[in-house]
Amino acid sequence: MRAARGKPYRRSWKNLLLNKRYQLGFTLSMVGLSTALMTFLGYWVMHEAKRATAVAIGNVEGQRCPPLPEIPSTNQPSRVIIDEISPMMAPPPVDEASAPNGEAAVPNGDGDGDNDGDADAEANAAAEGQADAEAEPAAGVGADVEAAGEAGADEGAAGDAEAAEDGADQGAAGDAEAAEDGADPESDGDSDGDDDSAQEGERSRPRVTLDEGTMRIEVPQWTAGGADGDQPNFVEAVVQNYRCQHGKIAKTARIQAGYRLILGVLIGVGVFLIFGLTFWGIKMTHHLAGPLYKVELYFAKMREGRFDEVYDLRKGDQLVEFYEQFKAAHHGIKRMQRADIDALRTAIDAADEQELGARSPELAAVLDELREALARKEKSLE
Amino acid sequence: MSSHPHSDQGAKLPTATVAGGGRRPPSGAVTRPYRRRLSNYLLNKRLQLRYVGFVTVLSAVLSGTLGYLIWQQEHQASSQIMESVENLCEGVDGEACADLRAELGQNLSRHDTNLVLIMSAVGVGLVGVLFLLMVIMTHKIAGPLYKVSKYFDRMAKGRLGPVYPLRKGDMLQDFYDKFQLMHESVRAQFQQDNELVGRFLRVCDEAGVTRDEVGFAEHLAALEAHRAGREKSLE
Repeated sequence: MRAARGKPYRRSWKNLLLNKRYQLGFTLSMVGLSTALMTFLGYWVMHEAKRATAVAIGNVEGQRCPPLPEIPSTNQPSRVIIDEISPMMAPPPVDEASAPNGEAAVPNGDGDGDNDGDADAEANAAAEGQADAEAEPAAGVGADVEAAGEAGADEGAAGDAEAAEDGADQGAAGDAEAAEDGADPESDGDSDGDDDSAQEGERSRPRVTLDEGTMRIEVPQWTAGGADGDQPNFVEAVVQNYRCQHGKIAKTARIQAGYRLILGVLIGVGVFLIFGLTFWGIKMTHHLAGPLYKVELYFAKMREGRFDEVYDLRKGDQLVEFYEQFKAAHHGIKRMQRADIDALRTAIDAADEQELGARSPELAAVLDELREALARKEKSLE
Repeated sequence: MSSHPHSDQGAKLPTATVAGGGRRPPSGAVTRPYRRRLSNYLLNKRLQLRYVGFVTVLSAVLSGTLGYLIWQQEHQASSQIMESVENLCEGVDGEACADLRAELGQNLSRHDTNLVLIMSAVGVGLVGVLFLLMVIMTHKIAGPLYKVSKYFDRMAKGRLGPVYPLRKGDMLQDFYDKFQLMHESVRAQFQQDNELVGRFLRVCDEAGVTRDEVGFAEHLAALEAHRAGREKSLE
């Protein structure tokens, strides 16, 4: 127990667990207790945090953003308007009388009374099972030839064989329509008469140009406010919408980060409680176990009848008062020993003077035992 | 001799200062069974409060940190709700919107306040429970030490009466067992030596060594007194 002379005593980590049963028992009880309470607190905190997070995120997601402007639809699969066609592609004039298979080639007016464009109305119900009324401008920009699929389908539904018979008639009708619409390139046969809508559609639709061997489609590009200022707020509205959506995402991320922070702190607290408190508990109980261990060593000596000097505790040890009480007890035992020694020595010396041992063998034996006891007691104080 | 574990010293036992600085009460009634008293849980205030204080303060700090975080999250949720309402009422000067804002703000503020109060109550409750449990735990250490210190005081006064076992549930059982072994060993040794002295006195008497014998009677009387005193101290 006593430090070597000249060499100060240093605590060793290996000796931290001097009294495993007490130290581990106390520390684990303390850690278990704290962990149980903090688990309860953590469960409640996470429950509240989850609820608050859900509410906050729900509110963020429920916030309105400026709507995105509608992009005019350029997808008109059932309508193709050929804007330009090369004159070389214009079919040669066909004599009405020579039109076979119900195909009628009728001279078609272009609106100005000139006979510079032909319109063919072709009904090919036998081949496709439907009657398509097709009006092709023979020539000239702006003369639309409309392939009205739905209309063709409707008409085709009406006649399969009939279409073959009446093909010429239908073609004639188609020619008549084309002749009427020829003057107006915008007119596609089912115009609703709304000029704005028509202009919008004209701007938004792709432009188709048929060349000698190619077909070119020009899709209109949207820009930040057209040159004519038709779409002044389009980009601004998109940016506002983007900012709003981005802000919502950022808020949601911030809220979720708060939730994760709580979770992280909770996990950190748990780990700190388990490891930190365990370490602290062992170290603190060591300050108690140290003096107790020292006292236990003196107990062992006293049990063997050795009452030698008791030394002071190390600096930083606890139970100083308890140790002082032990020292007083130890001193009390030594005092009793000394009293016994004095009494025995006095009695033995007196008996020797009187030569009591010679009086009877029994008395001599007892005197020998007293001498042994005296020697043992004297030795115990060395 | 009393059969009571804590009253073996009788009414003569003087009060003594205990480790915690308090006054040790004299032994209680002989026949009344020992019961833990609430006021005795802090036997060694310095020792116990050191542990209890640390753990309690630590728990309070951790609880406070968690409480602040949950309040922050809750406050954020409340702010989001208010922001939603602000957006909803943007550009609307109607009374209904103003009322909605005021009522909602009041409700959310009340909810946040309630949450803080509940958190404080739970925190204080947890810390309080932890404090009490830690006092009980440390009492299980301080109890055996207190008991041993009582025996130390008696030993210091030259009294080596019997030692009684610890209460059920006390810690430091190993330490106490070792103390008990030591105490019994020392006591047995003194008893043995005292019996030897008594036997010597008896043999002297049987051998015709009278106490009136010149030069020896005085020594025999002193030895007899010593033996009687020792016997008393071992009771």
